[in-house]
Amino acid sequence: MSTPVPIELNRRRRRWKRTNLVVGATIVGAVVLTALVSFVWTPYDPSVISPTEALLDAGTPGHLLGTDQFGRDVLSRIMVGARSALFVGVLAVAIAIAIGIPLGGLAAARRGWVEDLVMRISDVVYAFPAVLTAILLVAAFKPGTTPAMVAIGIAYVPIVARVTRGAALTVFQLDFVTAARSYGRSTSFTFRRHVLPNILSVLIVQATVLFALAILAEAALSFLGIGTQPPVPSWGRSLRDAQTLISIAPGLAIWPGLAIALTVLGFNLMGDGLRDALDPRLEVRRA
Amino acid sequence: MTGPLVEVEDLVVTSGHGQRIIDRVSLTLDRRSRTGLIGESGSGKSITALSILGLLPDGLVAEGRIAFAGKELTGLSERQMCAVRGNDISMIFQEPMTALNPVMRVGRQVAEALRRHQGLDRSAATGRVLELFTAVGIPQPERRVRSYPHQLSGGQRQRVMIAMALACGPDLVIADEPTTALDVTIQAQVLDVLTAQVADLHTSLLLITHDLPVVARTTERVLVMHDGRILETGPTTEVFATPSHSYTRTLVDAVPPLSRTAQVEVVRRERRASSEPAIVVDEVTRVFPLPRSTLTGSRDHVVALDAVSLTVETGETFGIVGESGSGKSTLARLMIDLDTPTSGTIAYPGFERANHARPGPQNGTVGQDARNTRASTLGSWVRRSVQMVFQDPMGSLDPRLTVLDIIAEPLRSLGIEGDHPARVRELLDAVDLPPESARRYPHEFSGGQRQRIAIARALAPHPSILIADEPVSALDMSVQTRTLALLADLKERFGLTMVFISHDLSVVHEICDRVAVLQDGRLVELGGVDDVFVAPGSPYTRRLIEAIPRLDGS
Repeated sequence: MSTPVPIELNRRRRRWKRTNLVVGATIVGAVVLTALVSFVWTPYDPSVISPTEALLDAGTPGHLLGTDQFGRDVLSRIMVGARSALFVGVLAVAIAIAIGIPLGGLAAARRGWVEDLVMRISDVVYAFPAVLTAILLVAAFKPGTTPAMVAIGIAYVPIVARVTRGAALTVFQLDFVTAARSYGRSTSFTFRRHVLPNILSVLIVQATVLFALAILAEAALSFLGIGTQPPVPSWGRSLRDAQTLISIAPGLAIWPGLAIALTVLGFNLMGDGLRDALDPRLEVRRA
Repeated sequence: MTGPLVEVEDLVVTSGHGQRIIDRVSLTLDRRSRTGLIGESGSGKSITALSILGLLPDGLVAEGRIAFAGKELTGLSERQMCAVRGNDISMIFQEPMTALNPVMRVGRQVAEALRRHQGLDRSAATGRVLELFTAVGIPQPERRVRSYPHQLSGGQRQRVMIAMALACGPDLVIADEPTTALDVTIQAQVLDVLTAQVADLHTSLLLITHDLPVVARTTERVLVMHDGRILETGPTTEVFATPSHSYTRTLVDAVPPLSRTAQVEVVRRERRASSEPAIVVDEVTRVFPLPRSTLTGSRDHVVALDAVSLTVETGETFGIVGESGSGKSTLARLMIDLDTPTSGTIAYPGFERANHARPGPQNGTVGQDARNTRASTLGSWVRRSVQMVFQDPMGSLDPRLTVLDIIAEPLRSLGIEGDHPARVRELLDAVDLPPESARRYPHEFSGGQRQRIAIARALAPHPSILIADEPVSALDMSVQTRTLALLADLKERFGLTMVFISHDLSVVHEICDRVAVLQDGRLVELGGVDDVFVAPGSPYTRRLIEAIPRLDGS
């Protein structure tokens, strides 16, 4: 006689992680789609002022999410705001990666004083809060999305450099890297050809998380008035404008706040899910 | 109580894809018995053990009946199984470093098990831990209970694992490759401790290993597993002396002569070497600085190689043996110019060197000049003419590249012109792999096949010297035999000089012409294999040879 003995340990956890990935990717996809659609269509022109229609409630016919104190359509402004959010994410992450990966790779490959120098400089940069760095840079140049995001990007360089170094150190220990050195490959070639492809999954996950952080940072900077400048719609900016009206028109703060929260959640879930989807150690071991 | 201790009946384990990993396995283990379960990787031996413990990896489903001391384990809840594990059945794993909690003192880890399963109070548990540590032969047990795992040597960690496994006086100890990661002298000690302790405590032992001599040394009965089935079972000495299944015979035949019996045969291999030197190692010392313990404190140093001098002759297979930490891999890295000696020189008479320049460019710019097709410097000559085969065939191949790219890499790197795909096909043929392999990725191959790919890569730039660092240690016994035969064959065919580095004396005895024995960075013996193995000149070599487990149990 035989009784089946099903033994499950981590299956539930893995299924949960897959849900994360799907939900996260769906939210991110929706944000990207909204931003794209906003180029060709929004319910109203987001910057047209119409004093007669100021502060309409959500659900008013024609204005699904209502209007702000200038009578601008909130839905339209949120749709266009998605563009700024994604733009800042792409810009900041691109800067962080473009500088952080080579630095981290250099530290892992060279070790010794080069590594010490790179990592200690990283520590110093990392010690400054990202938003503070941004304020400094904006004060030195001019307020606006691009300088703010360059600052955020630079502030994230140490994070990328550390992650790259940590992951690359492991791969540099492996014999195929030693083999490449033994037949004469240069260190930088070895890093690009052998190390980078093998740590890409870690970096993709890190980039996703930084993307979410950059969106938050942009919102914070715009809230402080030194990020995206009017009349370009931005979620953080909308929050700032809604501040004084919070008691009479709470919806003006709720909708952009929700957009920020949802987008950040989407990227975080996606990053979390990707971490597992891309981690070969969590794959079912082949028999 | 009478009756067998463990009864497994018609155990079937299926993977998520419906593949049968264990195919109707039935076995019984008697009380106070020592049983070996042998098989190569993928035979299902570990899965069988994990099924008994109810610890199958995610995605595997077991069916069948498992009874322990007359009690059905089948269908027990996780909580009920927990009471059985550790208390009645315990397990010893291969790698004690990962099996022990690195941030907990080892004494407390063992005490933990005692307090949970036996309900001992703190002081009673501590006392018992000291007894156990003494019993398994851990030196200075009072001090060692307060150590963290990384502060212990590999052998001591495995002794702690044994102490932990025996802590609750289990009826069955399952040991999965307990000594595979250990040096041969330590292996012998650990096996002795394990055997003595299970006898003292009237515990049964199930020893899982791929190593036949280890089973011969330790167990009374043996089960032979292959492809998820048990092929043969019987008294260990009988099965190994007269195997009835052809597969068992293959395994027995794969055991190198030195591991068969203490009577060392004289091989009388004719010397194929010419008297022309290929590598001359002269008074080479390599010192590694340790990190400073304090900011201003002086730096400690480790002497990995201490004034080693030896000459590898053209056309011979030169063995370098030693235990871990003996400096054999450091020597290999120096020979292939991945590292520079602190003092001393390594010369390659094959390259007409103009001056006494050290081989290779310095300060980390390795490989800058290797792109010249013509070997203009000693460094670029070494990069082309000296190639290496590594131990771990998984780690030595980039998982993101196809086999074609992997084997063609040295050709591209060294700027060797020609039809690379054709050369790769030729090399694949030389190592007995089909040409279609070129399009596939490393993970699609078995360990032995991957090592063949690594060998093909090493041969790509037509080297004259091949340095093989533990090339077969990660392979199954029968694959080991085939890979060694392939290496010997390729060496003849391409007229190579081979430096063969291994911790395994049996393998070195089988394949090498001459052998150097390293201990703690010093050369303790150098001579022809027959001389060294039949009449070892140094006591250390003698100890190494005596510690080898033999198939006849001696």
